[in-house]
Amino acid sequence: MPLLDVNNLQTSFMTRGATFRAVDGVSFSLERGETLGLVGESGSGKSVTCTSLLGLLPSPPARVGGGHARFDGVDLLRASPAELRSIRGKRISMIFQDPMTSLNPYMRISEQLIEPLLIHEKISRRAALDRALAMMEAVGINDAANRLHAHPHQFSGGMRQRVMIAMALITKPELLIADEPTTALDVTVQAQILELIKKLQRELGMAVIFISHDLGVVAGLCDRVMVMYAGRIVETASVTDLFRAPRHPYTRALQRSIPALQPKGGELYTLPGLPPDLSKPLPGCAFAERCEFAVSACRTGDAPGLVDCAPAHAHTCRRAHSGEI
Amino acid sequence: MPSPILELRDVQTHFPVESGIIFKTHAGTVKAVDGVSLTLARGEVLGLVGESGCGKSTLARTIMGLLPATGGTVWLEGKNLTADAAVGEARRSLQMVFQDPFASLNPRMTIAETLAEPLHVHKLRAAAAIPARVAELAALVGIPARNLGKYPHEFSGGQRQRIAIARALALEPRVIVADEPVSALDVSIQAQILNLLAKLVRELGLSLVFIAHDLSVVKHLSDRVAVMYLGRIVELGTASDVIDRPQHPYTRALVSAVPRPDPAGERVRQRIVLAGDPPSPLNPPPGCPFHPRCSFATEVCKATVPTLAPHAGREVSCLRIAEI
Repeated sequence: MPLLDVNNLQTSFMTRGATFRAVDGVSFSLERGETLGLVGESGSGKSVTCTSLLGLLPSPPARVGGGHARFDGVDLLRASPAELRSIRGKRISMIFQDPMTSLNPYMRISEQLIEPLLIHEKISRRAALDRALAMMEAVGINDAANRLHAHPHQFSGGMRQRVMIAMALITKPELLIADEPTTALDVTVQAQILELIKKLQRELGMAVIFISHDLGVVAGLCDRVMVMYAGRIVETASVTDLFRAPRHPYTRALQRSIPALQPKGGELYTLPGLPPDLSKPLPGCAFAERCEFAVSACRTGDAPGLVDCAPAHAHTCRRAHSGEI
Repeated sequence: MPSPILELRDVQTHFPVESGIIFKTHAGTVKAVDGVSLTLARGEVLGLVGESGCGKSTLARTIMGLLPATGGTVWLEGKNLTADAAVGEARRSLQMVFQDPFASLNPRMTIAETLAEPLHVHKLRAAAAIPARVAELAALVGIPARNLGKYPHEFSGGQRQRIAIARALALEPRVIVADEPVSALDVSIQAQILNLLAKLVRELGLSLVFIAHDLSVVKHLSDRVAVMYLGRIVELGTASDVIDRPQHPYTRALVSAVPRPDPAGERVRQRIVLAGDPPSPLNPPPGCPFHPRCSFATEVCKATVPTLAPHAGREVSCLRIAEI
């Protein structure tokens, strides 16, 4: 049984006069110890997919529905608030993107670090502080004993992100959701943080969902990658297949637009237009408006679903499946 | 060698730090830019890279005159911009594009007003000729003329950055300083802006100082690259030399830290992981500023400040470069 099994997740935001389908029928599963990358542009639904699973979206305006999201047998979409609280922060934890705003500026680092332990485990304050200190050392904060009781403003961005990671991992979760954990950081610090996540993952055997828009980061860290566009998964494959043989035109376009994969100074491929308005009905394939291969048949009918094109490699492009492109 | 269009000679930008609320005392100096010498040739793209806090943005603002240089001189086409008098005219040839297109456009001005403002200020065109010039600028960056009456909030990030570039071009500058112009954009939009900048350099003969922290982006666009660390340049050379064959230990670590979109290669690659954060410019280490994080540092590095010297076809500021 997979650790997490998500089937047909639907998340909409209801605003006055319009409903935005931010996540529209997302299904995937994740095994224990696996690292799944979730890539896509801003607004493609990567973060909303994960915050929906954890019940972190305020409702209204959000409405999370659809099939199920079973975490070790418990359906996260239908779990009672108490059940969800016993899982969130204990068995599933999350690292947020912005280390500058995700820590409470009024609380000492030590208090924030031991909070999940005091809530989820029967543990004395002293023992919790010992675990916090060990975790601070594990994430590579020098002089941890003296810095444990500091306030967040006394830490740099990279150190705060390490604190966030320490906080997420202190309860030894089975699943870690990392939402662009290194986007706000310099490449040198990013390299440190990625090494750290890899090392801790090996030690704890946890599964990771890694959200990123940086294909380079995903290439180094993930086993499997899902590409999202307009609230749907358009391609999923092992990381090697996705980079070596991308099939969906959107994935191909993304690869052709990054300078690292192109000869120096050459013209980069650019996607025409903008992502679609998710409050309007989108007949056929949501990417058709921007796709260089689209024909009139792409713009009609139901949204195309994921179909396997090779073992463990699926995408939604009908024309690629029929061998036309 | 033809004379450079922009030349920096030993530029310093220091900020005094004061402590106390009523009786302020001088507590130290942040040497954000500490002795930078650079040249920019006509039609050249110079990339400027480094970690946050290394002084790249301060250097850009100092070149622009948005921050006063506390030492050294900035020369633009033979005119000294750091001397006080009569530089307004010269500054017209030097324009800036900022990082965040959501913050750098006035939300209460239409695009046409935004693009016309520099023309009004500098009285470059007769009032009657301004609408035609505005339309020309919009066309240059690919903004349809029918959108000129719209306000910034009606545009996406990529389009706003185009508008910001059009505004910088309004006064027909010779040099553009672009401070992280693509960092806030998604990859597909980033590609559009990079193509646009490359086209403008090619077609208008502009020179560009291009600041970014993404080395693959810098390499793609730049002719030469300068690597900054703690307010100083540590390596300067052609883009392919510096990024494909880095020499300075800091550049090596920086290049090695960049994740590459190549799953097989990423799994076997040995990465140089730098320990710790960059030191504070308020209290820089003595000797070579990089020595506390450098795996090659010896006693001599703790005592002597290195300067840029020729090495392997570029300039490197490292005392032990010949040995490592």
